[in-house]
Amino acid sequence: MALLNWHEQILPRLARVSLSARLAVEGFLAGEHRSNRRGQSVEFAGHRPYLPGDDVRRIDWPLWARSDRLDVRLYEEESQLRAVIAIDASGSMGYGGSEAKIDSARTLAAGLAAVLSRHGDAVGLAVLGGSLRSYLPPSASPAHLIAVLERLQDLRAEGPGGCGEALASLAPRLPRRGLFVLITDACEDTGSLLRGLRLVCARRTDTRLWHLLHEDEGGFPFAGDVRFLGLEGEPSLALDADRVRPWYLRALAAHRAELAAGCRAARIDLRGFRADDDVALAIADALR
Amino acid sequence: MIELAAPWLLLATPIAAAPFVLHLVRRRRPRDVGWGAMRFLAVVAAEQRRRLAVQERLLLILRTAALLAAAVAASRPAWVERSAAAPVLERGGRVACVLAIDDSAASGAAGGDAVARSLAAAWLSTLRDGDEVTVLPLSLLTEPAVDPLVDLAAARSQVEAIRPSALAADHPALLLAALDRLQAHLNPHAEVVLVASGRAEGWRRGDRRWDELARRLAAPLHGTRERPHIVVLEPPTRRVDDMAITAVIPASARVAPRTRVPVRITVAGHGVRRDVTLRIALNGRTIEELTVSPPADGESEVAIRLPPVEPGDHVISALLVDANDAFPASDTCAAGLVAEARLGVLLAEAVPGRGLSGSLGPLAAALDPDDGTDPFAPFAPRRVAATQLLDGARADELLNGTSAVVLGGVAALDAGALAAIERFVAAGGGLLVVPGDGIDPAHWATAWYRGGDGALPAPPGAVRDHRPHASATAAPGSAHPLAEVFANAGSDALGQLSINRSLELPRPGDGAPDDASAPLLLDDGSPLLIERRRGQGRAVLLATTLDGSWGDLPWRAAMVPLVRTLIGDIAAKPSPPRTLLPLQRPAFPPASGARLSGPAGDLPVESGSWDGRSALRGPPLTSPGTYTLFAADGAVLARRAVAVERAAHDLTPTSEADDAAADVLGAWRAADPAGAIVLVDGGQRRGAELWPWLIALAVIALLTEAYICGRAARDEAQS
Repeated sequence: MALLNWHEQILPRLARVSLSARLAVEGFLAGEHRSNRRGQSVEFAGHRPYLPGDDVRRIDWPLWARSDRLDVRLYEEESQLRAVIAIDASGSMGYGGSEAKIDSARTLAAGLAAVLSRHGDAVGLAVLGGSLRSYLPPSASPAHLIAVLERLQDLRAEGPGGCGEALASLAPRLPRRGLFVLITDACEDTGSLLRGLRLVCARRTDTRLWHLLHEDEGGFPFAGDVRFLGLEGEPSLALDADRVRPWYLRALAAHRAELAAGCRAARIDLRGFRADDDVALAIADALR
Repeated sequence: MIELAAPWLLLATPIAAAPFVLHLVRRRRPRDVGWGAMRFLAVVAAEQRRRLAVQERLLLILRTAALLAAAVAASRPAWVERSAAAPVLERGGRVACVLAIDDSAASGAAGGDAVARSLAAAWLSTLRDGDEVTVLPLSLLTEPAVDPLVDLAAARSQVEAIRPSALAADHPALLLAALDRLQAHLNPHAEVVLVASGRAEGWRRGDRRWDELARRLAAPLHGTRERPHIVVLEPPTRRVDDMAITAVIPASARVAPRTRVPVRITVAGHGVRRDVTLRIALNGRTIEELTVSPPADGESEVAIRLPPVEPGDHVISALLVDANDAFPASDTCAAGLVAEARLGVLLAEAVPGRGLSGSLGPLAAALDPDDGTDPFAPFAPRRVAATQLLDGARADELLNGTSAVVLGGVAALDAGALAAIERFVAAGGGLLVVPGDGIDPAHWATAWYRGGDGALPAPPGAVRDHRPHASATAAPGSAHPLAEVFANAGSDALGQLSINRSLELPRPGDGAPDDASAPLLLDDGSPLLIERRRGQGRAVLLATTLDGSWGDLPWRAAMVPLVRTLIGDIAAKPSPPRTLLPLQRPAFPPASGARLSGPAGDLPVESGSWDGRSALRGPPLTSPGTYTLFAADGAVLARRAVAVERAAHDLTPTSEADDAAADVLGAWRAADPAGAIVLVDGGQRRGAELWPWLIALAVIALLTEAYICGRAARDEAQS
């Protein structure tokens, strides 16, 4: 396995995904992140650059003597975390124009993937939207990370929603006792979504739901007569936005409350994001 | 059915569309937004959009209903029950029906003419094929009788074409005419149906024609003809508020050209008092607009002066611009006048003089104070010595172009000159004979009066002295312009006269011919002057001189109005009236290819005569307004005015007492116990007024609208 060269291979690709993702990873490279998943193993897995805070006993001093590089040695046991990042790529994720939810989701996923991979964890990617559109099983190889990033780069928000059904298809294929992060706007039936997540939880995975909403969806800033065109093929609705706003906000709050209650019951970590949130802070907060 | 007291206010009903229009105008084209969280909106839409739509439509309906109810309420609708009353008549056979319809001016008040037409149509609908009908509106009473109609559709068309005229209602005349028209019918079951306007005016209580009607109805029957049934269809009416112009009266119907004629206009308020704009027009051109405010139940008078009028016919019309009441026909009135060129007056003096000297010097000064320098003076006197009337030829020459001749103190005339003067008077000229010191009354009686065949109006008696001096007065009850002038003057101008000598004149019928008149009297009751028509002209004999030798008349205030009115009256040739009463036929000077145009369009004219002279005559005029005679080239030849009869302004509704009209109809019943007379009580019953309910509906709609809006605002605020 080739050594992961962050600065030469990963960061440029991250830049193509999002500047925010790049900044997020650079932040982690600066040593802000402390992995709590270290273990002892005799099976050598590779090197990674030394970061302030690393145990100096793990520095590969012979390597330093040979090549003047200050790397720490990694062992196979430390890469056993297998994480799958699932992105909801339904049409509703395309809302937001230059601040589309899908862009934020892509940035979050790329940053998270890079951070996990940086720490030697295996990362997989599932693209959902009505059904399971694509799935990259988790792998810790740098080439796989590149494949994940390229898949993210090509991601488009389109088609019908419905992560619940897709999760039902995905759950049997997930590694047991891994990490599963679903980035979605949850614009679908809450019951169906929670059923799918419970299937994932049944794999004893550490399941996290990152609920991503656009600022408009949270505040409904429209006024006057507006014709809402469904991004997932729903029939359009011509409404008086001023009159509808309170009813919409009430329905949204009920939906979020129902989602939170379901996640709490299934021990799913639910975090809310806004499309314009700072990705680095968001990831750090989510992984703390 | 529903009757509207002010149907023109229904024109305001389109305002009820305002909420819809505002809704459409304010309805913006919605902005398109691609939206992800449709499921939340879908939930809202399913529940709320329906609710909003219902609420919005409900508000639209409530607002529209409120405005519509208010607009309809303004027209004061009422529920009326109409009955054609046909079932109460037992028709034993084919019907001969005369529909006598009151189309008087008052029938147009508050849409009453439409009600009358519908009542007549309802009655027609009870007739069957083979029945005969005569449609007889009041305005066609003077028209020749026409054959009854058996075509009911044609009768219905005639009924629908009836419109209010300028006439005052006259039910006895209508009923008498209907009985006459019934003679032309053949069917045995006779019906006279009077469709009245519901106004008391038409019943003419106390009119003797009711007796004539009762007599004719009680007359024995002949043949198979049944006694006619009399049916009265009279819609109950309400008192309506009205503002009206009741009179337009120029100071004189015949004026000198370029004089500023005073005109009095009377505006009346019936039950309403407010400011209205009075627009006065001369020949259709507005000359003045005034604001008047007549008392609620009284009249106010407006006096104006016309601008100088050119020679010819003129019509003064007045219009209440913004009366907006239930009787539009009363909002306008018109009168005609004619301006004639200066009247030439030949003054033949026994004692010629200049200025105030001479037999007729004061008279010449009174007629033309500016001695010919004023081109607009109404009279053009020409003074000559009586000796110039040498013979007939010379007299004809002098009389040519004059309208009147005055003989001042002339004792005798050449026979030829006298004959010329008599011809002049017979042709329409005026003659004033004034005594003087040298006259011989006996010669005048012999040569000039000639037992009534001469030009002198009466045989003069002796010259007598008055000790003390006599004064004069207007003859009571005289309709002569002179009597009117001094009766209306408000001052005792004649009583201030001091006459010390006079020619004794006989009274009409007592030494003077019966057709003579004495409009002014001395204080002993003898005539101060006596007038008599001679041919087409008139001759006047004055009892005193006009040079001041027999009294102070020339120097008194009575002089100018006396001689001007007298000369103006006798000098003017009789001409057809310019202001006509409804149904009068207009007369115009003969003209070929002339066209008469009236308010309702062109009318036929035909050659005829007026006052023994050839003239162009029009048909009886029924519509109020201005009628203009145009020449073939379009020039205006003459104008005439027809105004609504003054009696037609009385809009008092028929009361119970009138229904008993009441006495007459009661008498008919008594005379005919078989019940041939059917009084359809009302024909139409006006029931409950609906406008209070409409106002209540509007208020409820507005309160409901306010409640819904308030609740929606609360919901929004709470959410």
